[in-house]
Amino acid sequence: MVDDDADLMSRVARGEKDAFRALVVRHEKAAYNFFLRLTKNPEDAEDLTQELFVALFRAARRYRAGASFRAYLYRIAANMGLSHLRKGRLRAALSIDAMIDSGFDVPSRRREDDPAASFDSRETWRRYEAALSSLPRPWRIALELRVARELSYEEIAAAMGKSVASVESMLFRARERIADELGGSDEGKGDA
Amino acid sequence: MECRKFRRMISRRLDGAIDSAALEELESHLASCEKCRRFEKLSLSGLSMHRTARELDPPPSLLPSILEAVEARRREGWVGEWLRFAVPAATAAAVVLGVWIGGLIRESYVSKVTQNQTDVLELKYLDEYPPGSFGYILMASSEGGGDGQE
Ligand SMILES: [Zn+2]
Repeated sequence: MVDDDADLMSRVARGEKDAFRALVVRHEKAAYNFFLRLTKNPEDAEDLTQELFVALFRAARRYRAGASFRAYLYRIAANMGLSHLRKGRLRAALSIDAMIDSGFDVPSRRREDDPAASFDSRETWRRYEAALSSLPRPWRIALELRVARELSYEEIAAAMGKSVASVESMLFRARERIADELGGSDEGKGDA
Repeated sequence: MECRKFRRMISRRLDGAIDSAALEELESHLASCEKCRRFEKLSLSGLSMHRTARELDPPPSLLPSILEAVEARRREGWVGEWLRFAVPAATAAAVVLGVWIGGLIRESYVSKVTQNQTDVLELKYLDEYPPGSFGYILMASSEGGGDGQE
């Protein structure tokens, strides 16, 4: 997969349109969802995904095949996402309920066949999502890259321009903060 | 403080980044620490929610609009590249052309002049010069002067 991506990138650098199309098709959904989670706005996510691939196209000649392609892609994506959030270029973020109603961000299991479990998971998810939103942006990005995009510590470090130790630390502190927030209102329920 | 060290290990375990010695140490701590077990449980549930969260398909218009945007950039890039290349190239071409044309003009002028000079040098008598030409005047004055002296 990684080799294929690197191969496609070198073909993109030679100006092959088909190779670029293949790269977009392969990574478009993941990139779109990465931005969607970050901005919580479908239009922003769409714009940023487009900008990301245009930037990738322009950077194709500078790409060196030795590096992980996904680290390379998400390095651009993380920088774009961060600068987008920093500049406050955001359109209104959808409320958690609106996102859930539009089918976004709800754990997909059990929803249709078990309405009660679905309601319960919606409530838990709402709290998880709120905790996630309260994290410092780099922690949120690190967690997103690790959990949803399944990048390794090394890839996240390369994508975020940090050391592996600092990535490990960000992930731990993010989880610690989330556990505090989830645990705070869950205290009475016990461990069952 | 001790617990924080183990929670850090729990976080690493969730990422599959823990070695077996640390894992053994963690297991033995978890057996005796309820708070860390609770942290693990909350972190695990967060992880599983995050991982199973539904991913939306991007709108179908996204792929064509990306390809179109890149095509526009490529054209822009071509124009930019072309201008960057074309301006010095056109300047160089103009200089070369100028030198060449200048060369042609000079060559035709020089050969004409040379031709005229040769013609002039081959003329020996007054009546061979066109009347009014410099050579005619020169010959007339020298011939006439001779006549007058004679
Ligand atoms: Zn403990």
